[in-house]
Amino acid sequence: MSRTGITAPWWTQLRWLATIAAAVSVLVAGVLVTAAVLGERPESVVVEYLTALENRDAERALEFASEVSGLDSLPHDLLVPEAMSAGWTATRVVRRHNEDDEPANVDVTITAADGTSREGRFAVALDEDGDWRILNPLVKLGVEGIPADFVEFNGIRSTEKELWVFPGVYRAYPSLEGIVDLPDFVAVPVDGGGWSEDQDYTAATSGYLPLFGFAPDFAAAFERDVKAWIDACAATSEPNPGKCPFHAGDDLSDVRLADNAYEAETVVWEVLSYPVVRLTQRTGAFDVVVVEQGEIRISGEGEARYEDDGEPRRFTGTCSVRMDGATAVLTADGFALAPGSHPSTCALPYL
Amino acid sequence: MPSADEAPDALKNPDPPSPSQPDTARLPRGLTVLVLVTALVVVLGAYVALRSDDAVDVVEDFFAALVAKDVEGALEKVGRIGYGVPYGERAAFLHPDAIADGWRLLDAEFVDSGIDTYVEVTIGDEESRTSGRLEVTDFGGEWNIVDPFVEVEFSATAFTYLAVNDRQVVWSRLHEHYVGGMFAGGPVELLPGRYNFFGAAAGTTGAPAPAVDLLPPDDDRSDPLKLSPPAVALTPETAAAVQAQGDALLDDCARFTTPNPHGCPFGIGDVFARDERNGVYDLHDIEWEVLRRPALLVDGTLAGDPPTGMAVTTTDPGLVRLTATGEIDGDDVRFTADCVADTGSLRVALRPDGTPELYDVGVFGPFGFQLTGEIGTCVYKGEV
Repeated sequence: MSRTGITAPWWTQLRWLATIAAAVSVLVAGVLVTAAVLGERPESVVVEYLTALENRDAERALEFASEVSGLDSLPHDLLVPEAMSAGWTATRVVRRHNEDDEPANVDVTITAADGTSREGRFAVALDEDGDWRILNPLVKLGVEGIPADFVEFNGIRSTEKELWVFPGVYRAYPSLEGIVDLPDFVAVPVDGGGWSEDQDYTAATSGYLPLFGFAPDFAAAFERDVKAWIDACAATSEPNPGKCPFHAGDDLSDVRLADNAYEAETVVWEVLSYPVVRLTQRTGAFDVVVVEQGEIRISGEGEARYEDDGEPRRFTGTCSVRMDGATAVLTADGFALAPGSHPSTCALPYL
Repeated sequence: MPSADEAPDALKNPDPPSPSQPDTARLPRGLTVLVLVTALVVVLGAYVALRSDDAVDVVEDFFAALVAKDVEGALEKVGRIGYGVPYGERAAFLHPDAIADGWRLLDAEFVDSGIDTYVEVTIGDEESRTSGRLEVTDFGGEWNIVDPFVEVEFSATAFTYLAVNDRQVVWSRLHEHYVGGMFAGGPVELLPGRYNFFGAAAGTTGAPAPAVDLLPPDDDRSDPLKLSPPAVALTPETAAAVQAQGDALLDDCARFTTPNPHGCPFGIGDVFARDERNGVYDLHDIEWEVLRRPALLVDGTLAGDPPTGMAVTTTDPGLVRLTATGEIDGDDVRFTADCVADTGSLRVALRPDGTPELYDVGVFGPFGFQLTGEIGTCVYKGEV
């Protein structure tokens, strides 16, 4: 109300409010612009993390992973500098355009020295302190399908079936060079993890199951281990050695040959021919492919089951070394072989 | 138009109007309403026009970036609502080399159906036009494109690789870290645009498939677009290379002394029948001899469901002689059987350089392990 009694337009009364609003807007805009220019962004956190990885700085890299849900529930065997390789680079870091950035997606391309590359995605979210935090800095690797009882990256071994690895490039099974032929493994972050009840991000598992190529020494190494296995079985002098590709019967002293059955605690095994075998990969093991079965001679002395006199008799027979159905798993000491399930390999003229 | 109620009120006011009061106070209320409504319509119209312009601008910028092969620039226009931008193996062809020349955005028009908002687009060139729509969403005043990708599943098994325009990816390399991923055969996501699949298909004489302009399906629940390779006709050199690999396979198979050599196109099957009622049992001392190699034929037909490669048939099934000892009527008898090659589990795929790869789907490999069972291909001939 003016002193003249003339009513001022209503908006003139709000000028002071408009002035304050304008000032506040300018201030807020300034703060936002400053924050955008100077503040930490999701992709800069990712770049910092990748730099630590490229520098093989496991300690620094683990700082980024300190809040990972279930961090200590999986082994850290490979979260060590020795397992991290140099020579790879993050050739692309792109923050994907998101409506809300909750979380932000930062896509990275990791490229090995030979040019092999894979693309992964980091999910980056603001934590309670207003800092951007990578939700999936580590790769949860599932290796249960590999035909080996250990995984080996850059020379570091682990016998775990699920474990954490840092994103990066790994030389697979360098200790088996010449035996198996494997591509470098490019580990990349994957999103698609879930949220627990208390809003912890739980990482999705990445499977690792490459095709194990056979390098030039593979056949010789396998043949050597097959022979060693058969020799060790033969050296037991038991008619039914456990976990062997030949046996004469069912229980300890059971000897069933083509012509008769005997009771004998000990026998003499003599390899006549070793089998010729190959391997073919399947999930969790290699299957043995038989080209030629082997033969082994059994001899000993025992009571003949189908004679009434109870006199011990000398016996001898030829048995198959049955490799069909056998499996092999790569171990640190070579191939661990397991036989297929067969009845006496001596009773019939098998394959 | 003044209303009946307003005139008496105006007459009741004896004071002259204040100079600072707007003249509109004197205007009849009906006119005021009309002015306000008109203003509202103008504002709303301008808003809608600007709003649709914004959405069309975003879509035009998206296509401008695509045509310029600026994939990252195009993806900037895509929001996360929907499935968002794919990455990893699915995104193998979101790559500049997978963008073709010679096409462009011809038309873009904003549509607000009341249920959703989209931009109707037409792409193509002077000779062909393909229309579709890109869904757009307004998030806090910012327009984003929703899932502008074309999901494609390849029956690429005539080839060991996928070729999209100038980008070629060997399938097994894409999935070398996890063999299980090779089973799927895709899908992969493509950006809208013009596509030539499988390129010149080295090793074949078949005509390249014509280019096709693709836009995302109207219904985002649609099945992936299934793409089959063009009809493949092997060059004489490629056919000869397939035959040579088949010959080498047969020769290796003859080294086996087992009744069903692994990964080989011949064998006695589960039980070897001598005739309709009698069998030969407990085979041992087995020898295989290739007397005449089968003549292989690959006519480009795919085999398997889903396909696992090009089928291999024979114009001559060849002759493999089996000599073995087995039990016949209680006696161990040396006998022979004549066998042919059954190539039902053999496949061929062409590598990027056109050379063929012959493989048995019963052996763990590019397509995992397909159970094929033991197939008997032998006919009993008699005692030796």
